Amino acid sequence: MVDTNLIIKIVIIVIYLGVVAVLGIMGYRRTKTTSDYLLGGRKIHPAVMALSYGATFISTSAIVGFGGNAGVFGFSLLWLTFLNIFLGVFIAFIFFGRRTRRIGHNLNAHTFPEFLGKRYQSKFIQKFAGLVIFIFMPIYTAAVMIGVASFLQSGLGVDYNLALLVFAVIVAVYVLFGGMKGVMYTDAFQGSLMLVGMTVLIIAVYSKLGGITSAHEQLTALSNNVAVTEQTAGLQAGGFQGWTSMPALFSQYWWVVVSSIVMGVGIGVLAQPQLVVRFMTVKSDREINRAVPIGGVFILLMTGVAFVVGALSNVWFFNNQGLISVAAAGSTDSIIPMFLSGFMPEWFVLVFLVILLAAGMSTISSQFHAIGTAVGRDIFKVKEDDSKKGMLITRLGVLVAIVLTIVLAYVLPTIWDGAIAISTGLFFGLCCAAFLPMYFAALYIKKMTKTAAISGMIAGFSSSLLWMMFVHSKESAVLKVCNLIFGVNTLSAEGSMLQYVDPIIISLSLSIIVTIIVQIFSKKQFGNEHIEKCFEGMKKK
Amino acid sequence: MLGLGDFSIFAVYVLCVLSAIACVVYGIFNWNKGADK
Repeated sequence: MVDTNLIIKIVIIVIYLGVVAVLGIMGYRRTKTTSDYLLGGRKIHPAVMALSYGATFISTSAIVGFGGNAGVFGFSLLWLTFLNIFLGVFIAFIFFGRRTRRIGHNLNAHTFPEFLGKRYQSKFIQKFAGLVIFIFMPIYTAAVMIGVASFLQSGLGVDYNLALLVFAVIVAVYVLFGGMKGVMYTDAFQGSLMLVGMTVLIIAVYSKLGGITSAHEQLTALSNNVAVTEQTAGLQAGGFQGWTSMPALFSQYWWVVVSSIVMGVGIGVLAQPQLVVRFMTVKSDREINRAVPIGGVFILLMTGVAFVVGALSNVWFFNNQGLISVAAAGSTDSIIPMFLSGFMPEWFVLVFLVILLAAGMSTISSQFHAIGTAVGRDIFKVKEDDSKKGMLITRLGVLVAIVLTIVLAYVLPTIWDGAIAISTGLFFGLCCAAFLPMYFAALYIKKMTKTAAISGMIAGFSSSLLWMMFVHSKESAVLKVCNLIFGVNTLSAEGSMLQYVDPIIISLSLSIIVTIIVQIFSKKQFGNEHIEKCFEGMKKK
Repeated sequence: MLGLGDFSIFAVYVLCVLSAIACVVYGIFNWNKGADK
């Protein structure tokens, strides 16, 4: 008996991969110089830039993982959506993006570490930032790859190891040969698919639950249902007050939602190397202005829809099974897939599999590119040129990054399973604490010194790592350093809320304070010529 | 208020939509600005 569903799934995926291949080839044919390979020749269309930025930011785990978290934390996660739109798009594009593009172009910088290194005339900053990307981003990338391979395994019934290998090789080929153009063209296609899929999903969910207000009222009423309060007893101990309420102030859940999810990801996005580099791919401020609307709407329809659907899934699960989402699905990661399988028509479930595949591929391709360019451009750069040799070295860097990540994706779950769960927060937190203060200063403070920049970077990076190793229990229990030295998972007192305070709160604050103090006491280090070159073409305030 | 229990949740729901609208409005009003080798 032929499984019709399986044939349809395979046909849809083959068509999808066919389009990806065509776009990858298009990127390859249009890549002639190192600038093409690293920055798309600085002439990328604003719509492609905005969709690529959004699709890179939103991975499978943002839809399924965070959407599943909304099944527990409810609408409180919408604060992250707000920060993602306001900080991650509006502020990032207008106040960070335009200056990044201009200064990057003035200094002929092609990567985020190179941008910081040239702005502060420091090889150390460039190599340090390159090493942070090279060491920590592959763990984050491997986690996304593992998530996608798991979906292919459950969705198509294919062997996990085979799914991981085939998926990685497909992405690797178009990143390796197509460069930034290949990555951004495919990102834009994948982002468009995600946009359509999530729009259909939110319309279906709200209309099936009787409209916006009716759906929300059902969810609010659910919290007071006696059968539900029995199931949420454990959650209430953590500070849960219902899916349409914030967790109790300063409770365990409040700290998790506010510091780790909302602040950690919401602020962390501003200093992500794979996102910042997108600003340097367009030719003028006009392109960035035109990208803002697409970016804002895209993020609203990605995280906003995922969080609303995750929270509202409780209504459907309770009406059909008498259980809340997390009890019915067994874990937060299973909430969205199980909800879609039961709630949406079969054809949509098939299409959604491709949407999740697109979300994963668009993130991974950009990560491969960022790791590869960190190796080939920032750590082992040979000399300043725009020749084929420069492109060959960068491509070799990308190849090293791809092989390293694939090996990690195979090995990591067997030797260090917990690493998958902490990888995203680890990378976001480290980048934000180490780079955000000096990145902001690079754009707005002409008198900023190299000494202050390096001091802030080291303070942010080291305090973030120390807080993760010894205090924040989510990471310290996985990293095991604290247990090895002190015999406990965290140095915070038993029952103390300190163990739930995200590293970004501590390390970013410390990084800013150190940067300011050192700046006050350090002497002017850059000549007027360098500063004028950096800020050439900008209006004097 | 849209059937949402907590005012802060109602506020953030509206803020999400408003911030996306702000992005669109900004883009429209600055569509041709910034083109100015």
